[in-house]
Amino acid sequence: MELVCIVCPNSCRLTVENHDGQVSVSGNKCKRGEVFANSELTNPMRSATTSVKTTVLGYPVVSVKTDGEIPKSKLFELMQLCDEIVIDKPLPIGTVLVDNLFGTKAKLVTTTDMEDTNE
Amino acid sequence: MSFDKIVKYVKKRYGVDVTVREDERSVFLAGECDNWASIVAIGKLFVTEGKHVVNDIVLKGHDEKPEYLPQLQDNALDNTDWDVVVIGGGISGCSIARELTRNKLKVLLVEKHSDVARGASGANNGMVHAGIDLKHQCLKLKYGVAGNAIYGEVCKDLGVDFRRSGQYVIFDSRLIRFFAKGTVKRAERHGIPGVRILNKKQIAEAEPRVESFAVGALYAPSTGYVSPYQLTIAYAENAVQNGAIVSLNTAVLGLDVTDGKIVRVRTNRGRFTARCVVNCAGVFADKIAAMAGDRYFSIHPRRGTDLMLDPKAEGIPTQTISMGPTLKSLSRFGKGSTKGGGVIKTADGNYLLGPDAVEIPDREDSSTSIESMNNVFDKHSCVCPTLKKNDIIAFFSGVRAPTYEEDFIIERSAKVVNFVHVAGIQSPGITAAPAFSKDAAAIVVDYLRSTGIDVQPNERFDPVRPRPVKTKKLTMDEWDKLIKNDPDFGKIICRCEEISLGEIKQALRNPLGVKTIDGVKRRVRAGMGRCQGGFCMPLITKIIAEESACEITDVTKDDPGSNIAVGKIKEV
Amino acid sequence: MRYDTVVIGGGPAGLAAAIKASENGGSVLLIEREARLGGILKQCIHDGFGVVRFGEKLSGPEYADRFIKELRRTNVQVSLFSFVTDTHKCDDGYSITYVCRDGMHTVQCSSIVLATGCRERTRNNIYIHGDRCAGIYTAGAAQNLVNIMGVMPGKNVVILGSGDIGLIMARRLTLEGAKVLGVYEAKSSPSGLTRNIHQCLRDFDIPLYLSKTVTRVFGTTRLEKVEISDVDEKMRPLAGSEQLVDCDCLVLAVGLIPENEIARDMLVPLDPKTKGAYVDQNCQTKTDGVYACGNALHVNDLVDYVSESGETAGIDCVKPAHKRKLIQINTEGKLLYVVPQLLDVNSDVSRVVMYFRASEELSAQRLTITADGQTIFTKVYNKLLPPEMERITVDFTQAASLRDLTVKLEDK
Repeated sequence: MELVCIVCPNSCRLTVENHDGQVSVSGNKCKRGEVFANSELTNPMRSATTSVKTTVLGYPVVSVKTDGEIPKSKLFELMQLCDEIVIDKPLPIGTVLVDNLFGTKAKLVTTTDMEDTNE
Repeated sequence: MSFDKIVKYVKKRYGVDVTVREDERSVFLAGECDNWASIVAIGKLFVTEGKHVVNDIVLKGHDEKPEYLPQLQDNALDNTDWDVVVIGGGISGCSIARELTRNKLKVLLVEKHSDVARGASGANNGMVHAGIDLKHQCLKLKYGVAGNAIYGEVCKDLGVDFRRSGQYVIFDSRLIRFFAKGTVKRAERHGIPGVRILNKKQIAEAEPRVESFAVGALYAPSTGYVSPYQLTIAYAENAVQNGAIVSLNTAVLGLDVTDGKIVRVRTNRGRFTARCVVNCAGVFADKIAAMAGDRYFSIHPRRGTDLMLDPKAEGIPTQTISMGPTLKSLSRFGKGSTKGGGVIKTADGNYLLGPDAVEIPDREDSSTSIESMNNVFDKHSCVCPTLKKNDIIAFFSGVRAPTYEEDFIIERSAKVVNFVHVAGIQSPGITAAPAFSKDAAAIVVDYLRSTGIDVQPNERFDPVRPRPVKTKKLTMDEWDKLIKNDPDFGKIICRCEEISLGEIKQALRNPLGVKTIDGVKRRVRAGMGRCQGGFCMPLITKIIAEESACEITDVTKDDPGSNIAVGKIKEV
Repeated sequence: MRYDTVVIGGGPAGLAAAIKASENGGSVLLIEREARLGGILKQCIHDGFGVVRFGEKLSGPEYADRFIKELRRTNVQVSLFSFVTDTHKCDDGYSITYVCRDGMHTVQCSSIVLATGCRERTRNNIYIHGDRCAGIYTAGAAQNLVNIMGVMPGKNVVILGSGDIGLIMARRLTLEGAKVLGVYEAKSSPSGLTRNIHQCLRDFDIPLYLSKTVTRVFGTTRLEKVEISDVDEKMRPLAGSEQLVDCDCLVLAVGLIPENEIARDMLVPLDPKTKGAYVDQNCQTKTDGVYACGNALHVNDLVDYVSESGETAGIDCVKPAHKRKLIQINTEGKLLYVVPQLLDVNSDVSRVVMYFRASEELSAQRLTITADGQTIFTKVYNKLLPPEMERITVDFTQAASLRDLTVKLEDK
């Protein structure tokens, strides 16, 4: 089976072979490719980026990300979760908005420094 | 040729059975045909001295696209009374409304779009023609020459840039030079100043880039250049300054006529009365005439496309250069339906190539096409042999509103006493407007006086419309002073055209109340540069929302419904 | 005021250049047009930035933030909301005039770093004809609407162009609830990074249509439909292949062009291949004292390299000027371009960073650099794709003679 590793922009083309439950990965330039291929076969995980609304002047929305991966199947649930959040004061970059997303260790954190305002 | 003979010829040539009916003003044609170009050609065959052609030959299998009508429905104008109602916010309507405000009159201008200059007035090359190619004894010549003569003065009053830098019509054979002598004589007769023939050496001095192929040129020094939409806007704004009301998003839906007189105007914003109605409806002028039962001419929409050239392209002439007739096309000289064209340096300093002239069945179809782009390029690029198609950076089309007689109609109706037609205004309409608007206003005033109304001059009339600030034209010191007074003039929003926040806010506070992305673009050029608004459109959207205290999602590109965004995220 | 260097543009290239110039002892003025530093990164909220430099997947604003915080630790003067209106040579360097909210300012400097980024190609650039309705946006404008202004540009979206920004917008709009009807690409292969094809399109079942383009748009007020045509191998639309797709939004991700208006005004020679300036290994243009970096130099696909070229320019622009001897680097074979195009043999040539792109999809290629016929560098590539820029470091000190430099790409 052919996969494209999405861990980094190298986009390594992976060949994944399953020999009686023993998975072998080739074509990866680094170890992360192997980890990616294994996860992709069992429980695909993705990190996600989106935004949440704010009431702060100059910031109708502010960017956020999951600081780790969440199950790919939970992406749209994450979007719904984000729809509910409204930030009402300037927050520094990296502020944790939600902990333990979907039972993972990943947190939802802001990725824009709202204190850097000039308007 | 008698009509019978023409009917026979049409049958033979086009396979169309035409029925002809005549009254004292017009020749009415009926029939069916499956080719629009043929329908227009047939219409032209029936043009006779002293009569108009009303061409009702139907294009088989064609459903005309429904006319754009604003969605808006309110009673803003219901039960109001006006001395004059002007229908249409193009160059004709806006200039006439302005001229009317020289008198103490209640003037209303209605325009169905969300801004003025939305039709042909906003989509042409802005050439102020000298008039060298116009026929004797036509209104186009009369008003074209008169308009050209007062252009500098009018533009000065209205705060609009105007550059009188002349036009060169070049020819590539000596024989044509002989014919051009006739044109010079005719220009003298018509009162067109300074027209002369240049020899090869003189051309090389004026414009070295055409030296290789030009053997001579006809030079018309009085040709000038204006931004046609900025002039239209300026006329409308000055009209409002002097008391006229401009009602946008307002379409005339009907004209109630009793005893040969319009007694009521029906619109989507209410019904009202008018002592006099002026039809400046452009491509819809015949339809407006029909609403009053006064249809005695036909408008056949003619689309022209212009291409904007990369100013950095190799070999673009720095002057306006048209190709004169070649030996093959001698018959075109002085008769063609496009007035020159070629490479034109616009009032804004851009270079346009064009236009072409294509007869189309749909009055509002100002879309561009690959075919028209290619046609324009093939037709005009001979004046600049090094030009490549890659040098085209933008393109636009406008739909002109000619009659079959190809002349202006500026007269009071013979049938509906309080109805004035300003129709068939096509090239050189931009040139002629400053002159014919005065006469059209006079026709209205004379009529009102004839009915016993004492029309008094408006003592408070101010012909000067304040010139909008253009930071780009200021010296450093002037700009610095302006910023010290208002910091918004120091904040550049449109990086390509270098337009400041102050200029955009100034444009948004226009007397017409236009608060759209394209409205800003037409007024200050923000978004017209190389990125075509890619960078500044979101910023201007935000500025409009702030200035009009509305949501970003309410901001439109142009007419209602053309919202930039379809909703807020998280809520769509 | 006089500075050693003035950096024009506060995006990733300009930030990196300003930091390095300051760290190397120069007095620096950074001129930024907008309210905040960071350039286009402010709206690139997706991740994948900084993998090369930081070994982490950062979002655009986070990547910018690291540089902004670093910049704040230096003595760089920052002028926001500032727009350069004039740049010209003066007695001992350059004179720059800019406008901002408190008036007009003129400063002098010994060197200028142009870090003005790039702009997007528009509908006119690719001759999309038809109506002039709302709902047609460049991908960057659409991204700004969604990620900065918080509004949706459309509900049923057609995306033209499979470059990274087109793919990323397809995912972004899908996540926010829009229906992306398809990504159309005139070329026969996708333009974006392969991983983006997977994580932006495949993950969301968004179709990718190759060898098709948008030829016409229809709509009275907002966009109502687009006409899609097949194209031939030269990307010319094929008559008769037209099909109509109902949509209310067309997003154009059809390429980027380095923004070089200032360079043009200063008559800095530009490379028609990159649309950026010709530079030497220190990012200095053919005009002494004028540097170009980042996407103003050539369109990069990784921000890490944008910063790298900014740093290169920043380090060199505060060094004492020396008499340069510029040797042209020639290219041979299927190379779209090579940057730098020049080598200054009077400065360090031992660690020259070079970037190149193949002009078409190629496999089993060998890149060779020769100096006067002597091979000084060679590398084999299994696969080369035009969208994926390659970076090499070359030691030119091994060359016996630095005449006749050639970069050649050939079948292995």
